[in-house]
Amino acid sequence: MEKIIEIKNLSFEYEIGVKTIDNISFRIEKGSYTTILGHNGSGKSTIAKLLMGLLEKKSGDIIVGGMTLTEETLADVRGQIGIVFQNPDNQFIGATVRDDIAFGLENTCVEPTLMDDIINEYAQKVNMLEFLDHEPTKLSGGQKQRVAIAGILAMSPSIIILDEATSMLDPKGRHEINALVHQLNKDRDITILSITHDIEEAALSDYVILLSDGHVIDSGKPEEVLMKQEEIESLSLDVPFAYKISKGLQQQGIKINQYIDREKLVRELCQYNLKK
Amino acid sequence: MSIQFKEVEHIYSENTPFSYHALKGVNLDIKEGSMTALIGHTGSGKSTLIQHINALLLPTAGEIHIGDILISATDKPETLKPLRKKAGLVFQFPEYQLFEETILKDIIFGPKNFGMSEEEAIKVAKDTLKLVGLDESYLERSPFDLSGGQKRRVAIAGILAMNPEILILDEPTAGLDPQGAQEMLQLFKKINQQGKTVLLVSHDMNQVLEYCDDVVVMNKGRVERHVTVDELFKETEYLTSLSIDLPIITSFILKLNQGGFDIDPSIKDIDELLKVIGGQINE
Amino acid sequence: MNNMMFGKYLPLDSFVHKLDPRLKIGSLLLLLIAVFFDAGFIGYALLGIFVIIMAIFSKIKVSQIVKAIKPMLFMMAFLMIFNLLFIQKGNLVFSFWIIKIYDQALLQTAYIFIRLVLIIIMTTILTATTKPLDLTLGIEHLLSPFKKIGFPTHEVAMMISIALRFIPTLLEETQRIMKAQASRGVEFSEGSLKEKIMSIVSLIIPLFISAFQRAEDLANAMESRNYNPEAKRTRYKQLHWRLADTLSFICVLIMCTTMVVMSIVL
Repeated sequence: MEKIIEIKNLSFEYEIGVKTIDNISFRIEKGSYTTILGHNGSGKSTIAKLLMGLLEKKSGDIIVGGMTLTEETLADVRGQIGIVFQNPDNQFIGATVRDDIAFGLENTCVEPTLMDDIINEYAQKVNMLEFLDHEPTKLSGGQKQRVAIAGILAMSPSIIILDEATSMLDPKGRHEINALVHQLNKDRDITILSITHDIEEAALSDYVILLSDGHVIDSGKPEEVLMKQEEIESLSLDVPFAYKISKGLQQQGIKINQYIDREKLVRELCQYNLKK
Repeated sequence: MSIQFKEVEHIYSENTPFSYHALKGVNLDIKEGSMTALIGHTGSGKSTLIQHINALLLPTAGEIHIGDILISATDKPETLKPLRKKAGLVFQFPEYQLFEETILKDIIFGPKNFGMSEEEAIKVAKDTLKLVGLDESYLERSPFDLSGGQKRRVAIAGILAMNPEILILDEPTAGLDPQGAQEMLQLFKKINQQGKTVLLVSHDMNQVLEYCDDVVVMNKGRVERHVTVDELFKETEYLTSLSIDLPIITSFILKLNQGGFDIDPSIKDIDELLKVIGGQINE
Repeated sequence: MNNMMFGKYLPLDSFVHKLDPRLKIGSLLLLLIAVFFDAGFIGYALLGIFVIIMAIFSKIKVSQIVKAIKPMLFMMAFLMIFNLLFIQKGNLVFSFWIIKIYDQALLQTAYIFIRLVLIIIMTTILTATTKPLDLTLGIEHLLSPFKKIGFPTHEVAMMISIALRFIPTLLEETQRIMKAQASRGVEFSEGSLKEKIMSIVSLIIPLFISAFQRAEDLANAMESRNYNPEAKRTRYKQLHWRLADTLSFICVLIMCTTMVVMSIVL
């Protein structure tokens, strides 16, 4: 598979001598939905900022779509990646939804006469068309995050990074954003890199990178990584619910597979129950 | 202390074009010593409601009884200061209320405002800091050097140090990682078991199921339900209509039951659930 | 705070609302200068009529104008009393103890009152009919000649528009912190001087910390979306100068010239 992001021996320190990111390497497949999982303070948001060139790395390489991130390629790399940050309020730049979507277009010198069509198209995509003239104070957190995504889509990126983008939202907002992002991943083949501590979200992704104290502890398919109970718990995280159940049943001598996906577990349990 | 609302109305900016009817005929009776969840959508009136309990907001009409203190529309907020000590309110993201040079000074700020002597406040501060899981070495450190989760603990300690009879928490675990959230909730449960009334605003139904006894559902400014947690999660249709998720364990049980199992949906504990599933499979 | 009228945009659909912000800002500047030409009561009457016509064309209600003037009343009263007592020219018309009032003082004070009221009404018309963002855009365009001498026109405009965007957010935040501290026993309206200082500190420090956090987040978000103040950008909002703008500008020019001429003739 084609790699869209490659991180090689990346290190970063906020304070001299204290490595927030310590010699990290990983690769992300094009079109995949990858989660970086770690507790607060594990360095996961720092990686996002390094990828966007918002922080200066100490050593190592970041390669996005074949381009090595340098001062010269910075604008091109940022053109390929869109990022949604945690706090919905602090990334809303325009006075209205319309102006906010336009902000990125202005920066990339899109012809003003073309902007209205682009704005309408992507506002529709994220279901915010009827709110185009609303000010941010009149929108919910979930709506603001949807506007942020519209602003990103308008720049036709190949990668979207979600930096704990749903952690300040209520469940309704969270569902909306998760559904939208999964749909973008499927329909438009946009690579998603989601930074989170939500294990159930990670369970539904294609690839998981486990981060702790600036190190990659483990990475792989969620079925491989998320079933390592000791490892997961040592990172102050919790194993998926489906895993707890399937493992508990195995311990009772019931012969079923181990799962991290609840739907699949329910299916197998029901079949098992019918068979007997 | 008990909390009673009688026909409480609240209208923001009354008689202006911006007027907003946030609470409509709210009746509520929260028993002393209970741990009650307050759930509902953003904008359903939850924050307006909790701000009435320590008189940050006064009702436009109706009465509120907190223990034997009466709050009504005609009261002056100044006379209600003692109430703020008895009903401790922890806002969402309370770490943003820290301001002192040291953690000690920040924790004793509240108690001193309510007339506690400095010596006593310091003693209390040491105890509450321990309660929230930080040791005494933190006392002289600046609150601004801490991690986000630690800041929140200090902020909560600042309210606990006032030794309130009622503790009101507005989404205290928002943004915390799973372990941080769990520790926080265990702390509140412990405080509740010491006899304090706890009111927890939460969006996370797993938390509601695991930690609370009763639950109040608000929708469009009205209290629509005030029931036990078990009773609430039986009303799946009602919850769906409000697009409130069921707790993971409850929805899992319901799905199994659709597929031929017969499991009591009010089971809260994974070990118990495992036994029941195992039992039914091995029948 | 919600009742403040001065400086608030009124989302109406009027002739003045549709005018180009450059015209409105330019006209306000010219009219503000014109107000200070001593054109006698007839001149001010003419200007007054002109301003009333503008207000009518803006669909602003009398009650809204009164609301805009109200918060200024204290300052106006202070200025007027000051003038009444300290201008000692002309004939003495009133004398009591050490208070002496002259007819020139009365005249001057009347002028000051008229000027202030006109200024407030004109400014209110501008802010009530122009969205904050259009105002910034207008200012940016009007300042653009100064770009050549190195004045950071674009940056200033961006700063103003971000400030405008975050005012409501920070007001909300202020209220939230005040309530949080009130829950910890702070009384913002009462107490000794020491307590008052403490209560203000307990508000200001959290407010600053949060504002800095927001500033950092915002800078990250802007940079991530490829914002570079030095690079070329296009603008979504385009200003369109129409015939109505030219005609309105001519009217303003005639009015201002009249004021100047009258002040010279008189």
